[in-house]
Amino acid sequence: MNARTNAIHELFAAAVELQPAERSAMIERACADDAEMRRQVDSLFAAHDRAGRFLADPAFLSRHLPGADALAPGAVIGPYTLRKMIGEGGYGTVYLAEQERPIARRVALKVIKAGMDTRQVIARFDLERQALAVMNHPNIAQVFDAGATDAGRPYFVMELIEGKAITDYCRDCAMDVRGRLALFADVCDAVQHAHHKGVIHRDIKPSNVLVSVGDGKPVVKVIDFGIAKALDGSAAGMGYVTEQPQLLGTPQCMSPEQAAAPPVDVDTRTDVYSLGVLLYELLTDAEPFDPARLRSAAYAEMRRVIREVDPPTPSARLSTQSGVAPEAAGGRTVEIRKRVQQLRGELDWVVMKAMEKDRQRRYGTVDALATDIWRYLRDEPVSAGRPGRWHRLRRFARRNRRTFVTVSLVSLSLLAGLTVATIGFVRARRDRDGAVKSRIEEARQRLIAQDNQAKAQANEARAQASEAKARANEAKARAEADRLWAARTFLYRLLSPPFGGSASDVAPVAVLDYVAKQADDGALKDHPELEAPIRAALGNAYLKLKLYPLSEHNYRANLDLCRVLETGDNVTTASALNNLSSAVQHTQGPQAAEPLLRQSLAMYRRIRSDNGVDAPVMINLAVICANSNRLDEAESLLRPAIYLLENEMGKDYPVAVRARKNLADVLAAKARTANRSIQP
Amino acid sequence: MSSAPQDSPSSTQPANAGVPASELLTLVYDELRTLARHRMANEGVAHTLQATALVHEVYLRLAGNDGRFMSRAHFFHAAAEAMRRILIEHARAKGSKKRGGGAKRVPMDLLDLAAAPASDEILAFDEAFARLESETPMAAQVARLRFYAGLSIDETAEALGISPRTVDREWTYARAWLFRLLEKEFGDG
Repeated sequence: MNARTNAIHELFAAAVELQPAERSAMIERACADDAEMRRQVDSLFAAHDRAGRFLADPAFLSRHLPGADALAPGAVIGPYTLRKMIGEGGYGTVYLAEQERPIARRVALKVIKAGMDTRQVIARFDLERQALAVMNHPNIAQVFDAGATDAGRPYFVMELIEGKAITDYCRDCAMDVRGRLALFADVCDAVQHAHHKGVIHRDIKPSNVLVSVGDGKPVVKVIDFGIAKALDGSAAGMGYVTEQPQLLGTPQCMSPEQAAAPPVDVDTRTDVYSLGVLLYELLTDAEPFDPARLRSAAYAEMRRVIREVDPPTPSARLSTQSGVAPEAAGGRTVEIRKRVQQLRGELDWVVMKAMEKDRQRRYGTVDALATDIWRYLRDEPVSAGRPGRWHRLRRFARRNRRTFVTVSLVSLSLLAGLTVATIGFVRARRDRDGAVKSRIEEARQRLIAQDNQAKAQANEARAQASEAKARANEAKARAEADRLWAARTFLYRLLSPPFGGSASDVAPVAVLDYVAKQADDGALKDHPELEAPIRAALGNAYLKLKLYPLSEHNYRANLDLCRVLETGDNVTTASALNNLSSAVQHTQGPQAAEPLLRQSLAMYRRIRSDNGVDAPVMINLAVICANSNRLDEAESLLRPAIYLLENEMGKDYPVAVRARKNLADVLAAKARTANRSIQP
Repeated sequence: MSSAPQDSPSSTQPANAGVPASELLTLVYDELRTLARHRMANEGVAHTLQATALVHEVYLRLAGNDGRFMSRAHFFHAAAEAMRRILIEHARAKGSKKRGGGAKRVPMDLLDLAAAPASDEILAFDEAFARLESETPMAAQVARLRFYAGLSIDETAEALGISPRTVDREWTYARAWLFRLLEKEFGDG
């Protein structure tokens, strides 16, 4: 405390007891030669005059006391009567409530804590209402209603779920990994359904994924759909800012883009991330980020951790756990070791891909994540690869560049034949099939949704009948989808030459021309998911027949369709770009083909497809580079491509053998250039 | 942010304490929080509970059960601090803390205390109290007892061993000083 503060304090205390006139005189005298003190005292008196009942209202503190937000049993909110409190979360308090009209039922009623703009919350909820109403999924808890309490706080009314958090459930009954994955797949299914209806959850976390046991079978229910969105803005991340996670949700499941400042638009991939965290917790019974660290961290630090720190892989996390708790019974240690073995590799990759910091590198959709889970459950290889492999490869190639000895000189005219017919194509075809399938699934879901909407409007008495109808429709839609699937596969095989086949394996050119004309005339214009593979097949066939302009035309149509069917970066489009480049190579030359290849490669990089699908593109590009004497670049493309191909397909794989030869040629050319510059 | 004193400042603490200050604080804190939760849960918002009434009730309960309390003054120091901690914890738990560049501005009419306050208001209060403490400890001491423990002028005078008139003056100063600070922080200016 300094002297002036002291003097101001004393002067104020003395002057405040005086009448206004005397007060002014006293201040005048005391501050005669201290303008700053004068200013301070004046501003204090001005504040004094304006302070009113500031700090003097005893009700003020009461509103801030814990429990002040609670409502008593028996309280009536709209048509609902509160029965008991069943939970307290970051956003508010959840009550079991009863509704009598129009239907008698028990519901969960969540009253949001004070401090939010109720009108905005309800307005935002109203925007979501339609989308929420259309959601109808056995694993989604319905949200019925929203409103404001008499005290002006927003509330939400939801289907009452009696269950526990999915993580608690799995831990309590010591469920095995496969069982957990199956439950998780149901969660994905629910979230994907919501995404199809345009609803992003934004707050997926264990406490929002409940498991209830009906008929002895665990049933997953995802709750709180639409609520995080409604609370956005005035309360964006409200549940996360706490320093006391024992009271509120923790930021564990918050996606990096949600933790961004300024806030970034979130999209469905934010749910992909949170699902990744949920899976992490299900597989390890532990949280990805050290909870103590997040708890103790200041808000900015917490954000940094979420945005920048890579958590250990699930298997790594689990193995440190087993190391930390050796006192756990012997059997348990063995069990953990077994689990570590199970997680290492594919499940680690799946989780880490879902939890990528950069959303471009995550699974593009929840479906893609679920597909990997199913692949794993069926013992098929997953699409996720070891993280960072591409970067390691680049480093590897750079390190070993000088260890190769170059001896001979061979011409570099090996472009032909290296283009389409590669594993890349085979794999891309499979991936494309997947994409088409999910389109069809989406269309089917839309159909069901429309039916369900009609159902909701029908009266209660007919509910059962229309449910049966919905089920029948669903079966019908599935059968329809299967038929379409079979037809499109058949057509593709009919038109496209087999991998490694020769010109004589191609369908008669008259047939090709006929099909192409039909397509050009718009016979399939309403069915892009059918037209795309047919165009690709035609492109393949014409290429094999060296009818390059026709090939280019069909490949181009295929590329356009791929872009329509799936926007953004995806394997199908990347592969379509590569296909097109092989035709353009002949019609317009390498200068025109190169940008297409670069686009394709960039797309593969962004979606991080480093399991060899992109090797053909790299080789094609390398040959163009080599032919235009950019030997270093050619080499740096060929080495990782060869590595990938040999790894994925074996050393004898023809494309790998040929690429090796290309590399030898490149190295030879480099040696020659070097010799020439040394001996002019 | 807050100076968060571990115990009531010793300079003004009565010497005849029967239990160590830290122990008393824990006791009062637990009692106060339990009582608040219990009351709030059972009576709900319809019976608006007075924080100050709570403090007095806790005093009666503890004083009745435990003869170790030598003075009301001693108790109320602990009570003010306990209440402060409870409010702060609760406000933090509510989580609407000021964030990043977009610090939330509380409209001035919230300081009017008629409207429902935002929970970070209580945090701002605490910071302001801490600053006042560093400048004029006596005014802060008076304000804490009046504000957090809800003591009257006379009770505050008794607890601090000073005259009611001094309490009144210090209280007026504290209110003006705090109002000026918070007005600057939250006001439209």
